[in-house]
Amino acid sequence: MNCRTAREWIHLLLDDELSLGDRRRLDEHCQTCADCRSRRSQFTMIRGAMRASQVPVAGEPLVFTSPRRRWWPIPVAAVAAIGLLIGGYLLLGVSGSRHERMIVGNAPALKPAVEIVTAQNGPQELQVADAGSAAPAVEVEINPESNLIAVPMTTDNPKVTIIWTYPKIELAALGEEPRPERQRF
Amino acid sequence: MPIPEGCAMQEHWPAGRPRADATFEAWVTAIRPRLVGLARRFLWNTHDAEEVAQEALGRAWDKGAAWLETPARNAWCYRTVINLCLSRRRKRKETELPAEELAGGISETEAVETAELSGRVRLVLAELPDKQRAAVILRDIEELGYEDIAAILATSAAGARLLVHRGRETVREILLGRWPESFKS
Repeated sequence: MNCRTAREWIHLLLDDELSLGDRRRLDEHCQTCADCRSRRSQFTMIRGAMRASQVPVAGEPLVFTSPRRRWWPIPVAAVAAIGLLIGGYLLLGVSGSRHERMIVGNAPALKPAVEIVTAQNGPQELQVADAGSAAPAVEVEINPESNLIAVPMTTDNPKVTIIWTYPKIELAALGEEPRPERQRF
Repeated sequence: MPIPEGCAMQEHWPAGRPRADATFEAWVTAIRPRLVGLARRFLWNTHDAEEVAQEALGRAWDKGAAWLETPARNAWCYRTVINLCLSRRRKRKETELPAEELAGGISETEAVETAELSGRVRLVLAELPDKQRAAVILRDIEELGYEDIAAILATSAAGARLLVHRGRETVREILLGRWPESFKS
């Protein structure tokens, strides 16, 4: 062990974060290095002096941080959305009495890339297409009172249409004139 | 809901604020001594420390019942107390109070005369940059974990650790430079 490591470990020692084995290694280093030995001793004395006038407070330790966020909600949401999709497909495909629309929300894992093909008459009428497929562009009606745009997408089952919803904030970037280039949003 | 009879908050409750309920009172009973103790580490004046703690608790109550149910309330209160203490100290500096009061309630001469390490440490702590000082007090005196300190100081755990380590190093360097005999046993 060199002195640089020992200096870092002295702080870990003060923080009570040093394993028993590492404490022994630090001890061995301090037995041969007077500088690190006095340094360790000084920090220990300072710590003792700081706590000398401390008045202990009774009661349970306070909780300062919220429980960590679990990592699984997003995948679970995606799986749930897929389950909803398949369930709806089977349900409608079997019963099949009428054409149904199934609305799927903003499940990130399922959200396809969508490109604006044309924007005519301002942002109120758009044609969009799934950038990842050869499906033809579809017309989209924009509800000015909603924060979402709904994009219908056909599926292999003619009785099922998926409606993807997207935040409308990107529409603010559109001008009144049709844009010559395809713009991703 | 009125404050229960005999409740410690009644006599201290700021005028014009809505009255506290029993749940709030239980929390106050647990956290108030800690807030006062923390404030004393900064102000070295019990009366001022109690005022600061009271102000922080009053502001916490103003944030509403739902917020008071979250663990964030504890970190928020500690942070508010620290900020109020630092604000008071800045105002004191502006009005040019005696140097010994700015330096933790004891004069430099007194510290030398008493030759007591804890007095010197207190003096040196008062010279640390605000955040370093807060971090060292929270870690080495209040004995909080780095995650908790990070929540209180609105930084990362690694940032809190760095503040503590730097603060300790600075305290040691100042002590060695000013009173090298401090560590002679």
